[in-house]
Order: sequence, then structure tokens, then C-alpha cells
Amino acid sequence: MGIKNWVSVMTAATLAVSITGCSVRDMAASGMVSFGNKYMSPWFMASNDTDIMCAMGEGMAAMTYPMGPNIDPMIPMVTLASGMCADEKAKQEELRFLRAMHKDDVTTAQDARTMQKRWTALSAERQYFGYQAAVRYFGEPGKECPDFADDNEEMAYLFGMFGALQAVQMDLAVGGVAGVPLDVMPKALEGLKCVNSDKFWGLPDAILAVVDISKSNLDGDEDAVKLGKARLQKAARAGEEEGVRMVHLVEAAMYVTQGDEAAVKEVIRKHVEMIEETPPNPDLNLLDKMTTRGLRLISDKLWTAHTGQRTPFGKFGTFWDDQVISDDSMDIEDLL
Amino acid sequence: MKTRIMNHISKIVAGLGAGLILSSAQAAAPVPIKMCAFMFMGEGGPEHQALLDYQAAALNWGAKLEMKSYVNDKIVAEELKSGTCDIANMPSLQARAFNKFTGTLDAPASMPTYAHLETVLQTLAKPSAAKYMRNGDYEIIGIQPAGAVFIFTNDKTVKNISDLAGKKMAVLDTMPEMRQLVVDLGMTPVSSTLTNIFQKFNNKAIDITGAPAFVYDMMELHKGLEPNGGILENPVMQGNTQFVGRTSKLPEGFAQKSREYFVKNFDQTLKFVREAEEKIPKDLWIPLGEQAQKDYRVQTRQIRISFRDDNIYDAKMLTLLRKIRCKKDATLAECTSPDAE
Repeated sequence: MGIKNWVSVMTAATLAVSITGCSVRDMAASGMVSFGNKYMSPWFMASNDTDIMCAMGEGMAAMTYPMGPNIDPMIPMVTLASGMCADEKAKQEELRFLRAMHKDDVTTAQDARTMQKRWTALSAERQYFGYQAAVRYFGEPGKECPDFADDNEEMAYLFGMFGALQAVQMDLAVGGVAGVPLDVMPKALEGLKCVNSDKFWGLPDAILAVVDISKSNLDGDEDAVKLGKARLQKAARAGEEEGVRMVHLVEAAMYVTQGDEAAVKEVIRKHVEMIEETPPNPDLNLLDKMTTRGLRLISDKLWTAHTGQRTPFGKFGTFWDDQVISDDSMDIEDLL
Repeated sequence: MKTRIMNHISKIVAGLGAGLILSSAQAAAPVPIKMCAFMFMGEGGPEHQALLDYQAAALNWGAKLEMKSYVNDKIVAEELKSGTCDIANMPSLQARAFNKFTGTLDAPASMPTYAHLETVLQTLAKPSAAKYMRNGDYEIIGIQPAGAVFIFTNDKTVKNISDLAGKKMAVLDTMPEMRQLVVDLGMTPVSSTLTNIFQKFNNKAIDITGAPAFVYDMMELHKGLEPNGGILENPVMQGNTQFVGRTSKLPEGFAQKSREYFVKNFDQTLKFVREAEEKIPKDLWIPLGEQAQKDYRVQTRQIRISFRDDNIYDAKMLTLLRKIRCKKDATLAECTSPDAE
């Protein structure tokens, strides 16, 4: 490029910065968000490799966080990924704890608990950071619903609220060391009501249904529990029809909290059958894969608690106490 | 010579025999014990996390706890009675059915500060107190603090207990003693469930509620306190969870080590609660003046005595609590009262 052209470009850029008041950093951040929405996000969402999600979340943090307020709409997605990454490490430590307890190895069990808590605290911090970015950009939830410019903004808001709920739950589990304020929970639940649930695979409605079911269980209100479960199934169908089965993970997590192992197994079996019969939405492949990954971790926990080892390879969807010989098999005495 | 060789061989055999006995004792597997685990927030929640640490520690004391989770404390108590499990944890109200002595720890205003509570729990964890922990085949094997419970009122002008008269307070239908306490304090009880008790306060359907400090943020109690509400600085009681075991099923020494475990973790257990208390805006706390403090002590003492006379509270525990209050402050009027608890 000639010197004349170079000077023209620099003049134009300087003028743009002066007129708009935007710094180079702000422009870069806006550009990043725009690039992310148009190219990165669709690519990631369509990918198969859930480990990339983990690496992306952790890797992009250093690059995006210093970019100032204009990068805020992107942060909830990044922190959801990095938060889930830390959470998975916590869950692997939980499996180590269970294996140690299986062998009566107290020292290893206690060491695993320490590591589990460290990773859980880190996950809570990361997820809370994402919620804070959502609040900076969209305003505090619980008052008015924000005006979303497009589906990407609405999805960012959903991830921010979902991350907030994860953050509170995790921080409570480690005695509040991550400093997540407890009032984030009711605010995030209100915020979820601003997101179109059918558009986002039934996820918001599923979470709200789970909260209602938990409350009804505590009150012993069986009719309300039934209503809540019907809402949960309706939300699940919204996602299943789109080939995004994230609600299965919400369902399974609820039954884990309730200590209902039989119901957890049923959800896992249902999920495995469904993903074999119906492929995921190709544009949202990653979300379905992340769901399967999360359910496999739950399966690993059940297997480890009962047998000392995680879900055997190729056996996801089966359980250690499954009937080996079917009822309709023939008796040898009838054949000979 | 032959005798010397024989003696030598005998010693070797004796030594081998002792070694075998010793190693088999050391290798003794922990005793499996079923535990009914009360977890209000469900599996994976904060109570469960604390119980996992307890479960790991229990291995060192000779027991392998197989935990089953429950969200209903009444059912937990029933399961322990029926023999479904041999250890269960539950709020002190439920624990009272197994040990009236320790079940009196939630007596109103009996432990005004965490310092009082710590002294009480350390006293109860000493080996000399072990006999008080046993009642028939049940034994209290741990007392875990759950945080001070405060009175939240929508009227900051409340300066003493008498000002609460006529105010509406939510009570749980599953807790008839709570209703009695509310009536004795001069308030009007309003039936509620566990999950709508704070909603009623926020919607102004009731004037008063009781809760530990961490509920302030979690249930957005600022909505119920606005515009003129506050929180009485004097806690109304010290919440606690008690671990009850069936003595005949516990390994030797387990109960004592378990009691010491909870005392050792006192500060860590209360850290979260204390931080929540610090986070509450300072201008929301309602301090009771000197006279109001005296009135408060007199009124709550009357309630404790009344519950004692109705055979709900244990007299010995009330005496212990009074002695510890007087050890910390000998100037209290009750310390020289002829009818001290």
C-alpha cells in the first residue's frame, strides 16, 4: 500500500475514534463480538468436540476479559464453558473420592474432597463472573426484561442467568468461599422468565419447573409436584423436537438432588435411546454432546458409588444391576 | 542346651502369634452402618457436602456409613426409630424425642452469643458428659451449629418483646411448639408451609418472621423489611442439627470421636453463617436498649420455665445453660434469683 493510502486509512481511523469517542479497545471488542456471533459461535455450536469447549472457555478468558465493557455479551458463553470445565474436574475428584471410599482409603478420600472443593470454588467464581458481565450489559434481572437486539443477545442472557444459578449452587456447596451473593439466585430465576423458552430448547421452563417441583416436594404437595413434572416434560419435548436434549441433564440433576436413583437411570436410558434414534440438530451439535457428556458423568458417579469403577466403555445407558438374562429366554429343560 | 533351644523356639512362636493377632486387629474392616441423612437442600447441596466429609472421617473411627438422603426431618426420625438406619441427623426439635437433654439446646435466648454456644458444645463433647448423651439405646454423637435465628420485623419501632404483641408471625403447621412459642410471645400465629413462609413476609401478609442471617439474601427479605423494618439484634435461638446413633450398633469409641469432630469443626461450620450476618446492612439491626434487654431476658426465661414445667424442656440442660450464661456474665439478674433455672 502506498504511503498516501496508509495516511488516508490512519486519518479515517483517527477521525472515527474522535467522532465516536470509541477507543481502539472498544472497537476491537465490538468487532470480536460481531465476529464471534457471525463465525465462531456457529462453528462451535456445530462441532463435535466437547473438549474444545473447555479449552475455548479457559483460553479465551485472557484474551476477552481485558477488552472492556463491549465484550460483555460474549463473556457468559466463555465463562459457562470455563466454569463447566472446572466443574468437570471437581466431578472427577468426586469419582476419586468414591473410589477411595470403596476401598476404605481415608487419606485419598479426604485428599479428593479437598481438590473437589478447590475446583468447585473456581467454577463458582468463573460462572459468577459471567453473570456479572450479563448484569453490566443487560441490567440487573428481576426488574424489567431487557430488549434483546437479536437471538445472540438473548442466548448470552440465558447463559448468564444459567451460570448464576450454577454459581450459587456451587458456592453454597463449598461454604461460600467464592463470595457469590445468595440473592443472585432469585434474581437469575426472574431473569430466566425473560427468555423465550421454546426458542432455547425448553431450558428456561425446565429450570423453573424444577424449582417449583423442589418447593412442592418440601411442602408435600403431590398435586403441585405432578403439575411441575408435566411442565418439565413439556419443556423436554420442546428441546427434543429441535434435536437439543439439554433438558435431560436438568431432569437427571433434579433426580440426583432428590436421591432418586431409579429415576436418574430412566432419564439416562431415555437419553441414550433418543440420541441413537434421532441425530442432534447439526447446527447445535455441541449442546447435545455437552448434555451427553454431563449425563455420562452422572452415570460414572452412580457406577463408581456401586462398583468402584466408572461407566465401562461402550456401556453408557446400562447399569451394573441390569438384568443379564431376559425373561423371555428359554429354559434348557424345555429344549432337551 | 535342649531347654535353651526349646525356650528360644517358644519365644519365636509366641512372637509370631502376637504378630498375627495384632495384624488381624489392625486390618479389621470398618463396620457398615446405615445412616438416614437429612439434607434439606438435597443431594449435592451444602449439607450433603458436609456429610461426605463426616463419612470419610467416620472410616477412621471404625464405621463405614451408607447414607440415604431425606428432605423431611420427621421421616428421618421415624426411620431411625423403625430401625431402617442406625444413625440419623436431624434438627434439635426432632432430636428431643431421642434425648430431651440435648433437645433443649434450642430453648429461646438460652445462648445469646456463639461464644456461649461454643462453650456449651465443648462441655457436652467432653468424656465426662458422655452419660448425658445416652438415653436408652440412643446416643447423641454430634451437635452441629446451624446459625443464630433472628426476628425479622416490618416495624423498626419494636424495641422490646412486648412491642411484638398482636403482630402476625408465620408458624409451620408441622411444629406445634413454634405456634405455642409465638402465642407466648404475644403474637398472632399464621399457618404457613416451609416454602411460603418468607414469601408471606415479603408480601406483607405477616409482620414477623424468624430466620438465620443467610436467608436475608437468599429469600430477598429486604422486600419484607422495606420501608420501615429491621432485625432484632438479640438472636431468639441457636439453631442446631443433632446426630443420633443407636449405641449398640456403634463401634467402640466411635461416639466420643464423632462428638469431638463436630466441636473441632465449629468455626468452619459457622464461617458461612457469620459472613452472612456481616453482610446484612448495619442500619437494619435493631439493638435493644438496657431495659429492653432485661425485659427480653425475663420474658424468654418465663417461656423456658413454662416449657420445662410442661415437660418439653429438660431441667438439667436449662440449669447448665444458665450456669454458662452466669459464668460469662455474673451480673445477670437470673444468677442471683432464688428460682434460677
